[in-house]
Amino acid sequence: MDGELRERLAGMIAEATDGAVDPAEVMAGRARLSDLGVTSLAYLRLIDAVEAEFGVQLEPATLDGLDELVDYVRLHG
Amino acid sequence: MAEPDDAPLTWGQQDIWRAVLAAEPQDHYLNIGRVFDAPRKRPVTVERAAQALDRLVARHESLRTRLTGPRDAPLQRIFHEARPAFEVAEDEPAQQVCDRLAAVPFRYGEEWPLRAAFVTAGGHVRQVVLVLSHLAADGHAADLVVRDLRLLLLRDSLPPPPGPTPRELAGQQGSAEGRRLSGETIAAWLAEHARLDPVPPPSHPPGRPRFVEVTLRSPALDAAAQDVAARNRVSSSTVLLAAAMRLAGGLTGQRFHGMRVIVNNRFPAGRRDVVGTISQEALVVLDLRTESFDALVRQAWGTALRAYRLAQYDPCAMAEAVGAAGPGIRSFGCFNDQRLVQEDGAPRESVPGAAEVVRTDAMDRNICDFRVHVGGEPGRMEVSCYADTALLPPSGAERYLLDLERLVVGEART
Repeated sequence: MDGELRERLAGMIAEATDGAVDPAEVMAGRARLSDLGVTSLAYLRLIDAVEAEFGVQLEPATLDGLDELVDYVRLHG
Repeated sequence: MAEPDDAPLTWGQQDIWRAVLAAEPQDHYLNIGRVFDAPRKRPVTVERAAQALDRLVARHESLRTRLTGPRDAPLQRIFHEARPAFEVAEDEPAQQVCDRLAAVPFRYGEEWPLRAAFVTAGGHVRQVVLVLSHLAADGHAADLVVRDLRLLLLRDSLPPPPGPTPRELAGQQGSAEGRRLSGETIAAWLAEHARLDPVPPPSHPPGRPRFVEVTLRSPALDAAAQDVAARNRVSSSTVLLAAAMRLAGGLTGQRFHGMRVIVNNRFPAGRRDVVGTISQEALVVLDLRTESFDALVRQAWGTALRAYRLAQYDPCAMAEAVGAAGPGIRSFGCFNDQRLVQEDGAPRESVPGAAEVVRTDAMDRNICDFRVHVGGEPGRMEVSCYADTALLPPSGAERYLLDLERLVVGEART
Protein backbone atom coordinates (compact mmCIF):
# COMPACT_ATOMS: atom_id res chain seq x y z
CA MET A 1 0.00 0.00 0.00
CA ASP A 2 2.78 2.35 1.03
CA GLY A 3 4.73 1.35 -2.06
CA GLU A 4 1.83 2.32 -4.30
CA LEU A 5 1.36 5.64 -2.53
CA ARG A 6 5.08 6.32 -2.73
CA GLU A 7 5.12 5.60 -6.42
CA ARG A 8 2.05 7.73 -7.06
CA LEU A 9 3.47 10.69 -5.12
CA ALA A 10 6.82 10.40 -6.92
CA GLY A 11 4.88 10.51 -10.19
CA MET A 12 2.98 13.57 -9.04
CA ILE A 13 6.23 15.32 -8.15
CA ALA A 14 7.55 14.59 -11.64
CA GLU A 15 4.33 15.89 -13.22
CA ALA A 16 4.47 19.07 -11.14
CA THR A 17 7.95 19.79 -12.46
CA ASP A 18 6.94 19.15 -16.09
CA GLY A 19 9.26 16.17 -16.14
CA ALA A 20 12.33 18.11 -15.03
CA VAL A 21 12.56 15.69 -12.12
CA ASP A 22 12.49 11.98 -12.90
CA PRO A 23 10.12 9.82 -10.77
CA ALA A 24 12.82 7.16 -10.44
CA GLU A 25 15.19 9.78 -9.12
CA VAL A 26 12.65 10.81 -6.49
CA MET A 27 11.96 7.16 -5.59
CA ALA A 28 15.62 6.23 -5.36
CA GLY A 29 17.16 8.97 -3.32
CA ARG A 30 16.64 10.44 0.08
CA ALA A 31 17.44 13.91 -1.23
CA ARG A 32 15.35 16.92 -0.38
CA LEU A 33 12.90 17.87 -3.10
CA SER A 34 14.54 21.28 -3.44
CA ASP A 35 17.88 19.58 -4.08
CA LEU A 36 16.28 17.66 -6.94
CA GLY A 37 15.27 20.94 -8.57
CA VAL A 38 11.64 21.23 -7.44
CA THR A 39 10.78 24.92 -7.81
CA SER A 40 8.21 26.99 -5.93
CA LEU A 41 5.87 26.76 -8.93
CA ALA A 42 6.16 22.97 -8.85
CA TYR A 43 5.53 22.92 -5.09
CA LEU A 44 2.34 24.88 -5.63
CA ARG A 45 1.20 22.52 -8.38
CA LEU A 46 2.00 19.57 -6.16
CA ILE A 47 0.08 21.05 -3.21
CA ASP A 48 -2.98 21.50 -5.46
CA ALA A 49 -2.65 18.05 -7.05
CA VAL A 50 -2.32 16.29 -3.66
CA GLU A 51 -5.27 18.22 -2.30
CA ALA A 52 -7.37 17.28 -5.35
CA GLU A 53 -6.45 13.59 -5.27
CA PHE A 54 -6.14 12.84 -1.55
CA GLY A 55 -8.05 15.70 0.06
CA VAL A 56 -4.97 16.50 2.13
CA GLN A 57 -3.87 20.09 2.66
CA LEU A 58 -0.09 20.24 2.64
CA GLU A 59 2.03 22.79 4.44
CA PRO A 60 5.27 23.78 2.69
CA ALA A 61 7.18 22.46 5.71
CA THR A 62 5.83 18.96 5.05
CA LEU A 63 7.40 18.89 1.62
CA ASP A 64 10.99 18.29 2.52
CA GLY A 65 11.32 14.93 0.83
CA LEU A 66 9.31 12.00 -0.54
CA ASP A 67 9.42 10.10 2.78
CA GLU A 68 7.95 13.06 4.68
CA LEU A 69 5.31 13.54 2.00
CA VAL A 70 4.28 9.86 2.09
CA ASP A 71 4.06 9.93 5.89
CA TYR A 72 2.00 13.10 5.88
CA VAL A 73 -0.50 11.90 3.27
CA ARG A 74 -0.83 8.51 4.99
CA LEU A 75 -1.48 10.19 8.33
CA HIS A 76 -3.92 12.82 7.12
CA GLY A 77 -5.51 11.17 4.08
CA MET B 1 -23.07 36.32 -37.83
CA ALA B 2 -24.33 35.28 -34.39
CA GLU B 3 -24.78 37.98 -31.78
CA PRO B 4 -21.89 38.35 -29.31
CA ASP B 5 -22.28 37.07 -25.75
CA ASP B 6 -21.84 39.27 -22.69
CA ALA B 7 -20.37 37.98 -19.41
CA PRO B 8 -18.92 39.47 -16.21
CA LEU B 9 -15.20 40.17 -16.02
CA THR B 10 -12.94 37.68 -14.30
CA TRP B 11 -11.41 38.86 -11.02
CA GLY B 12 -8.07 39.26 -12.80
CA GLN B 13 -9.71 41.42 -15.48
CA GLN B 14 -11.39 43.51 -12.78
CA ASP B 15 -7.97 44.10 -11.22
CA ILE B 16 -6.59 45.28 -14.54
CA TRP B 17 -9.62 47.46 -15.23
CA ARG B 18 -9.08 49.21 -11.89
CA ALA B 19 -5.46 49.82 -12.92
CA VAL B 20 -6.61 51.15 -16.33
CA LEU B 21 -8.98 53.65 -14.72
CA ALA B 22 -6.29 54.79 -12.29
CA ALA B 23 -3.73 55.39 -15.06
CA GLU B 24 -5.76 56.78 -17.97
CA PRO B 25 -4.65 58.23 -20.35
CA GLN B 26 -1.28 56.58 -19.69
CA ASP B 27 -2.71 53.07 -19.39
CA HIS B 28 -0.59 51.85 -22.31
CA TYR B 29 1.99 50.85 -19.67
CA LEU B 30 -0.22 47.80 -19.06
CA ASN B 31 0.09 46.56 -22.66
CA ILE B 32 2.06 43.36 -23.14
CA GLY B 33 4.45 43.16 -26.10
CA ARG B 34 6.13 40.05 -27.50
CA VAL B 35 8.51 39.63 -30.43
CA PHE B 36 9.54 36.27 -31.85
CA ASP B 37 11.30 34.84 -34.89
CA ALA B 38 9.21 33.23 -37.61
CA PRO B 39 10.21 29.69 -38.70
CA ARG B 40 13.42 29.75 -40.71
CA LYS B 41 13.42 26.27 -42.20
CA ARG B 42 10.00 26.69 -43.75
CA PRO B 43 9.65 30.47 -44.22
CA VAL B 44 6.07 31.75 -44.35
CA THR B 45 4.46 34.42 -46.50
CA VAL B 46 2.40 37.27 -45.09
CA GLU B 47 -0.72 35.52 -46.39
CA ARG B 48 0.13 32.35 -44.50
CA ALA B 49 0.94 34.34 -41.34
CA ALA B 50 -2.38 36.21 -41.61
CA GLN B 51 -4.16 32.86 -41.83
CA ALA B 52 -2.34 31.66 -38.71
CA LEU B 53 -3.36 34.84 -36.90
CA ASP B 54 -7.01 34.25 -37.81
CA ARG B 55 -6.77 30.68 -36.50
CA LEU B 56 -5.15 31.93 -33.31
CA VAL B 57 -8.00 34.35 -32.68
CA ALA B 58 -10.60 31.71 -33.50
CA ARG B 59 -8.89 29.40 -30.98
CA HIS B 60 -8.84 31.76 -28.00
CA GLU B 61 -11.99 33.48 -26.87
CA SER B 62 -10.13 36.18 -24.97
CA LEU B 63 -8.55 37.41 -28.24
CA ARG B 64 -12.00 38.19 -29.67
CA THR B 65 -13.36 39.89 -26.59
CA ARG B 66 -14.03 43.60 -26.10
CA LEU B 67 -15.56 45.52 -23.23
CA THR B 68 -19.11 46.81 -23.07
CA GLY B 69 -21.38 48.42 -20.48
CA PRO B 70 -20.76 51.12 -17.88
CA ARG B 71 -17.22 52.22 -17.07
CA ASP B 72 -17.62 51.45 -13.39
CA ALA B 73 -18.83 47.90 -14.02
CA PRO B 74 -17.99 46.78 -17.57
CA LEU B 75 -18.77 43.37 -19.03
CA GLN B 76 -16.73 41.31 -21.45
CA ARG B 77 -18.35 41.00 -24.86
CA ILE B 78 -17.27 37.82 -26.62
CA PHE B 79 -17.58 37.75 -30.41
CA HIS B 80 -17.84 34.56 -32.40
CA GLU B 81 -15.53 35.85 -35.09
CA ALA B 82 -12.81 38.47 -35.30
CA ARG B 83 -10.27 39.55 -37.89
CA PRO B 84 -7.63 41.60 -36.10
CA ALA B 85 -5.79 44.08 -38.26
CA PHE B 86 -2.07 43.57 -38.74
CA GLU B 87 0.66 45.63 -40.29
CA VAL B 88 3.52 44.59 -42.47
CA ALA B 89 6.83 46.25 -41.67
CA GLU B 90 9.77 46.02 -44.00
CA ASP B 91 12.51 48.35 -42.89
CA GLU B 92 11.80 48.74 -39.21
CA PRO B 93 13.41 46.68 -36.42
CA ALA B 94 10.85 44.35 -34.81
CA GLN B 95 11.41 45.68 -31.29
CA GLN B 96 10.79 49.21 -32.51
CA VAL B 97 7.54 48.08 -34.12
CA CYS B 98 6.57 46.41 -30.85
CA ASP B 99 7.36 49.54 -28.80
CA ARG B 100 5.40 51.70 -31.27
CA LEU B 101 2.32 49.46 -31.19
CA ALA B 102 2.50 49.12 -27.39
CA ALA B 103 2.79 52.90 -26.85
CA VAL B 104 -0.88 53.50 -27.65
CA PRO B 105 -3.61 52.55 -25.14
CA PHE B 106 -6.18 50.06 -26.40
CA ARG B 107 -9.70 51.30 -27.09
CA TYR B 108 -11.15 48.51 -25.02
CA GLY B 109 -14.73 48.84 -26.29
CA GLU B 110 -13.98 49.25 -29.98
CA GLU B 111 -10.71 47.52 -30.73
CA TRP B 112 -9.67 43.85 -30.73
CA PRO B 113 -7.31 43.20 -27.80
CA LEU B 114 -4.50 42.03 -30.06
CA ARG B 115 -2.30 44.06 -32.42
CA ALA B 116 0.03 42.24 -34.74
CA ALA B 117 2.81 43.06 -37.16
CA PHE B 118 4.83 40.90 -39.52
CA VAL B 119 8.37 42.07 -40.16
CA THR B 120 9.38 40.88 -43.61
CA ALA B 121 12.52 40.54 -45.69
CA GLY B 122 12.86 38.96 -49.12
CA GLY B 123 9.12 38.28 -49.38
CA HIS B 124 8.92 36.24 -46.22
CA VAL B 125 8.00 36.92 -42.60
CA ARG B 126 11.13 37.04 -40.46
CA GLN B 127 9.70 38.20 -37.16
CA VAL B 128 6.29 38.48 -35.60
CA VAL B 129 5.21 41.22 -33.21
CA LEU B 130 2.23 40.84 -30.89
CA VAL B 131 0.87 43.46 -28.52
CA LEU B 132 -1.87 42.28 -26.20
CA SER B 133 -4.28 44.18 -24.04
CA HIS B 134 -3.75 43.17 -20.42
CA LEU B 135 -7.51 42.54 -20.24
CA ALA B 136 -7.05 39.67 -22.70
CA ALA B 137 -3.89 38.14 -21.32
CA ASP B 138 -1.50 38.20 -18.40
CA GLY B 139 2.20 37.53 -18.83
CA HIS B 140 1.84 33.75 -18.84
CA ALA B 141 -1.09 33.87 -21.27
CA ALA B 142 0.97 36.06 -23.60
CA ASP B 143 3.63 33.35 -23.68
CA LEU B 144 0.96 30.72 -24.47
CA VAL B 145 -0.36 32.90 -27.29
CA VAL B 146 3.15 33.19 -28.72
CA ARG B 147 3.59 29.41 -28.47
CA ASP B 148 0.31 28.78 -30.29
CA LEU B 149 0.99 31.29 -33.05
CA ARG B 150 4.45 29.80 -33.65
CA LEU B 151 2.85 26.38 -34.04
CA LEU B 152 0.09 27.73 -36.29
CA LEU B 153 2.70 29.21 -38.61
CA LEU B 154 3.82 25.62 -39.20
CA ARG B 155 0.55 23.67 -38.90
CA ASP B 156 -3.01 24.18 -40.04
CA SER B 157 -4.62 23.28 -36.77
CA LEU B 158 -4.04 22.60 -33.09
CA PRO B 159 -5.95 20.46 -30.63
CA PRO B 160 -8.68 22.42 -28.84
CA PRO B 161 -7.35 24.62 -26.04
CA PRO B 162 -7.58 22.95 -22.62
CA GLY B 163 -8.93 24.65 -19.56
CA PRO B 164 -11.73 27.06 -18.86
CA THR B 165 -12.32 30.21 -20.92
CA PRO B 166 -12.39 33.61 -19.18
CA ARG B 167 -16.18 33.53 -19.49
CA GLU B 168 -16.35 30.16 -17.71
CA LEU B 169 -13.90 31.37 -15.07
CA ALA B 170 -16.00 34.46 -14.43
CA GLY B 171 -19.00 32.16 -14.01
CA GLN B 172 -17.15 30.02 -11.46
CA GLN B 173 -15.97 33.11 -9.59
CA GLY B 174 -19.50 34.51 -9.41
CA SER B 175 -20.95 31.24 -8.07
CA ALA B 176 -21.57 30.52 -4.39
CA GLU B 177 -18.34 28.50 -4.30
CA GLY B 178 -16.41 31.37 -5.91
CA ARG B 179 -17.78 33.87 -3.42
CA ARG B 180 -16.87 31.54 -0.56
CA LEU B 181 -13.30 31.24 -1.85
CA SER B 182 -13.04 35.02 -2.19
CA GLY B 183 -14.45 35.54 1.31
CA GLU B 184 -11.94 33.11 2.81
CA THR B 185 -9.06 34.80 1.03
CA ILE B 186 -10.17 38.25 2.17
CA ALA B 187 -10.41 36.98 5.76
CA ALA B 188 -6.88 35.54 5.50
CA TRP B 189 -5.55 38.86 4.17
CA LEU B 190 -7.26 40.76 6.99
CA ALA B 191 -5.65 38.45 9.54
CA GLU B 192 -2.27 39.26 7.99
CA HIS B 193 -3.09 42.99 8.01
CA ALA B 194 -3.63 42.71 11.78
CA ARG B 195 0.09 41.80 12.09
CA LEU B 196 1.33 44.80 10.08
CA ASP B 197 2.99 47.83 11.62
CA PRO B 198 1.62 51.09 10.19
CA VAL B 199 3.22 52.62 7.10
CA PRO B 200 4.00 56.29 7.80
CA PRO B 201 2.35 58.86 5.50
CA PRO B 202 4.38 60.17 2.50
CA SER B 203 6.84 62.84 3.61
CA HIS B 204 8.25 64.28 0.39
CA PRO B 205 6.79 67.01 -1.84
CA PRO B 206 5.32 65.21 -4.88
CA GLY B 207 7.41 65.68 -8.02
CA ARG B 208 6.35 66.20 -11.60
CA PRO B 209 5.80 63.72 -13.10
CA ARG B 210 4.44 62.17 -9.93
CA PHE B 211 5.67 58.60 -10.51
CA VAL B 212 9.19 57.75 -11.67
CA GLU B 213 10.75 54.39 -12.52
CA VAL B 214 14.47 53.76 -12.25
CA THR B 215 16.13 50.56 -13.40
CA LEU B 216 19.28 48.83 -12.19
CA ARG B 217 21.16 46.72 -14.69
CA SER B 218 23.47 44.55 -12.69
CA PRO B 219 25.76 41.81 -13.95
CA ALA B 220 26.56 40.75 -10.39
CA LEU B 221 23.04 40.52 -8.93
CA ASP B 222 21.85 37.48 -10.90
CA ALA B 223 24.75 35.26 -9.81
CA ALA B 224 24.59 36.55 -6.24
CA ALA B 225 20.84 35.86 -5.95
CA GLN B 226 21.41 32.33 -7.28
CA ASP B 227 24.18 31.79 -4.79
CA VAL B 228 22.10 32.83 -1.77
CA ALA B 229 19.15 30.82 -3.15
CA ALA B 230 21.20 27.63 -3.49
CA ARG B 231 22.56 28.02 0.05
CA ASN B 232 19.05 28.29 1.47
CA ARG B 233 17.40 25.81 -0.94
CA VAL B 234 14.93 28.40 -2.21
CA SER B 235 14.40 30.19 -5.54
CA SER B 236 16.33 33.29 -6.54
CA SER B 237 12.97 35.03 -6.73
CA THR B 238 12.49 34.46 -2.99
CA VAL B 239 15.92 35.93 -2.28
CA LEU B 240 15.07 39.08 -4.24
CA LEU B 241 11.65 39.34 -2.56
CA ALA B 242 13.24 39.07 0.88
CA ALA B 243 15.83 41.72 -0.04
CA ALA B 244 13.18 44.03 -1.55
CA MET B 245 11.03 43.72 1.57
CA ARG B 246 13.88 44.17 4.03
CA LEU B 247 14.94 47.41 2.33
CA ALA B 248 11.36 48.67 1.92
CA GLY B 249 10.83 47.96 5.62
CA GLY B 250 13.90 50.08 6.24
CA LEU B 251 12.17 52.96 4.44
CA THR B 252 8.94 52.61 6.43
CA GLY B 253 10.49 51.66 9.76
CA GLN B 254 8.24 48.58 10.03
CA ARG B 255 9.14 45.33 11.74
CA PHE B 256 6.10 43.50 10.29
CA HIS B 257 6.06 44.54 6.65
CA GLY B 258 3.78 43.44 3.82
CA MET B 259 4.29 43.43 0.07
CA ARG B 260 1.98 42.16 -2.65
CA VAL B 261 3.36 39.67 -5.17
CA ILE B 262 1.86 38.98 -8.60
CA VAL B 263 0.84 35.32 -8.85
CA ASN B 264 -0.17 33.65 -12.10
CA ASN B 265 -2.79 31.39 -10.45
CA ARG B 266 -2.21 28.45 -12.77
CA PHE B 267 -1.23 25.81 -10.21
CA PRO B 268 -4.32 23.57 -10.52
CA ALA B 269 -3.82 21.10 -13.35
CA GLY B 270 -6.86 22.33 -15.30
CA ARG B 271 -5.69 25.94 -15.38
CA ARG B 272 -2.14 25.68 -16.63
CA ASP B 273 -2.97 26.72 -20.17
CA VAL B 274 -5.66 29.33 -19.59
CA VAL B 275 -5.37 32.19 -22.07
CA GLY B 276 -6.88 35.10 -20.22
CA THR B 277 -6.13 37.39 -17.31
CA ILE B 278 -6.18 35.30 -14.15
CA SER B 279 -3.07 36.52 -12.36
CA GLN B 280 -3.74 38.47 -9.18
CA GLU B 281 -1.78 39.69 -6.20
CA ALA B 282 -0.87 37.68 -3.10
CA LEU B 283 0.05 39.31 0.21
CA VAL B 284 3.35 38.36 1.82
CA VAL B 285 3.93 39.60 5.37
CA LEU B 286 7.37 39.11 6.92
CA ASP B 287 8.82 39.73 10.36
CA LEU B 288 11.92 41.61 9.27
CA ARG B 289 13.66 41.29 12.64
CA THR B 290 15.59 38.09 12.01
CA GLU B 291 19.03 37.08 13.20
CA SER B 292 20.38 36.97 9.65
CA PHE B 293 19.42 37.57 6.03
CA ASP B 294 19.43 33.81 5.46
CA ALA B 295 16.80 33.43 8.19
CA LEU B 296 14.67 36.08 6.48
CA VAL B 297 15.04 34.29 3.13
CA ARG B 298 13.89 31.01 4.65
CA GLN B 299 10.97 32.73 6.33
CA ALA B 300 10.05 34.33 2.99
CA TRP B 301 10.07 30.94 1.23
CA GLY B 302 7.44 29.29 3.44
CA THR B 303 5.38 32.45 3.86
CA ALA B 304 5.32 33.14 0.13
CA LEU B 305 4.35 29.56 -0.76
CA ARG B 306 1.36 29.81 1.58
CA ALA B 307 0.51 33.31 0.34
CA TYR B 308 0.63 32.36 -3.36
CA ARG B 309 -2.35 30.09 -2.78
CA LEU B 310 -4.37 33.08 -1.55
CA ALA B 311 -4.39 35.15 -4.72
CA GLN B 312 -7.93 34.59 -6.02
CA TYR B 313 -10.56 37.03 -4.78
CA ASP B 314 -13.04 39.70 -5.79
CA PRO B 315 -10.72 42.73 -6.05
CA CYS B 316 -13.41 45.32 -5.24
CA ALA B 317 -14.46 43.47 -2.08
CA MET B 318 -10.77 43.06 -1.15
CA ALA B 319 -10.02 46.77 -1.66
CA GLU B 320 -12.98 47.68 0.52
CA ALA B 321 -12.00 45.23 3.27
CA VAL B 322 -8.30 46.12 3.50
CA GLY B 323 -9.10 49.83 3.08
CA ALA B 324 -10.84 49.68 6.46
CA ALA B 325 -7.91 48.00 8.23
CA GLY B 326 -6.87 51.20 10.05
CA PRO B 327 -4.64 54.25 9.48
CA GLY B 328 -1.40 53.24 7.77
CA ILE B 329 -2.23 49.53 8.03
CA ARG B 330 -1.54 48.52 4.48
CA SER B 331 0.77 46.52 2.29
CA PHE B 332 3.65 48.50 0.86
CA GLY B 333 3.72 48.18 -2.90
CA CYS B 334 4.07 45.25 -5.19
CA PHE B 335 6.78 42.81 -6.28
CA ASN B 336 6.76 41.18 -9.69
CA ASP B 337 9.38 38.77 -11.00
CA GLN B 338 8.84 38.83 -14.73
CA ARG B 339 11.88 36.89 -15.82
CA LEU B 340 10.92 34.80 -18.82
CA VAL B 341 13.59 32.25 -18.04
CA GLN B 342 13.81 31.72 -14.32
CA GLU B 343 15.60 28.47 -14.01
CA ASP B 344 17.66 28.15 -10.90
CA GLY B 345 20.21 25.47 -11.48
CA ALA B 346 23.87 25.43 -10.60
CA PRO B 347 24.93 28.88 -9.41
CA ARG B 348 26.09 31.01 -12.33
CA GLU B 349 29.42 32.74 -12.63
CA SER B 350 29.20 36.45 -12.06
CA VAL B 351 29.45 38.37 -15.33
CA PRO B 352 32.04 41.14 -15.23
CA GLY B 353 30.86 44.72 -15.56
CA ALA B 354 29.64 47.59 -13.44
CA ALA B 355 26.06 48.18 -12.39
CA GLU B 356 24.21 51.11 -13.88
CA VAL B 357 21.01 52.84 -12.81
CA VAL B 358 18.94 54.71 -15.36
CA ARG B 359 15.56 56.43 -15.33
CA THR B 360 13.26 54.31 -17.50
CA ASP B 361 9.72 55.66 -17.18
CA ALA B 362 7.56 58.39 -15.68
CA MET B 363 3.81 58.71 -15.21
CA ASP B 364 1.35 61.19 -13.75
CA ARG B 365 -1.13 58.71 -12.29
CA ASN B 366 -1.01 55.10 -11.15
CA ILE B 367 -2.88 52.66 -8.91
CA CYS B 368 0.30 51.55 -7.17
CA ASP B 369 2.69 53.79 -5.20
CA PHE B 370 5.68 51.43 -5.04
CA ARG B 371 6.61 48.57 -7.31
CA VAL B 372 9.68 46.39 -7.77
CA HIS B 373 10.00 44.55 -11.08
CA VAL B 374 12.59 41.90 -11.82
CA GLY B 375 13.31 41.24 -15.48
CA GLY B 376 16.11 40.85 -17.99
CA GLU B 377 17.86 37.68 -18.98
CA PRO B 378 20.25 35.30 -17.24
CA GLY B 379 23.45 37.20 -16.56
CA ARG B 380 21.79 40.52 -17.34
CA MET B 381 19.29 40.99 -14.56
CA GLU B 382 17.28 44.19 -14.47
CA VAL B 383 15.47 45.38 -11.37
CA SER B 384 13.17 48.40 -11.58
CA CYS B 385 11.83 50.46 -8.73
CA TYR B 386 8.77 52.46 -9.59
CA ALA B 387 7.72 54.88 -6.88
CA ASP B 388 5.45 57.76 -6.04
CA THR B 389 7.87 60.68 -5.67
CA ALA B 390 5.98 61.75 -2.53
CA LEU B 391 6.95 58.43 -1.00
CA LEU B 392 10.42 58.10 -2.44
CA PRO B 393 12.10 60.67 -4.71
CA PRO B 394 14.03 59.34 -7.74
CA SER B 395 17.36 59.67 -5.90
CA GLY B 396 15.91 57.51 -3.11
CA ALA B 397 14.71 54.90 -5.63
CA GLU B 398 18.21 54.77 -7.12
CA ARG B 399 19.70 54.33 -3.68
CA TYR B 400 17.13 51.61 -2.91
CA LEU B 401 18.21 49.59 -5.96
CA LEU B 402 21.92 50.00 -5.27
CA ASP B 403 21.32 48.98 -1.64
CA LEU B 404 19.46 45.91 -2.92
CA GLU B 405 22.40 44.93 -5.09
CA ARG B 406 24.86 45.58 -2.25
CA LEU B 407 22.79 43.50 0.18
CA VAL B 408 22.43 40.43 -2.06
CA VAL B 409 25.98 40.56 -3.44
CA GLY B 410 27.33 41.01 0.10
CA GLU B 411 25.28 38.06 1.38
CA ALA B 412 26.53 35.88 -1.48
CA ARG B 413 30.08 36.42 -0.26
CA THR B 414 29.40 35.44 3.35
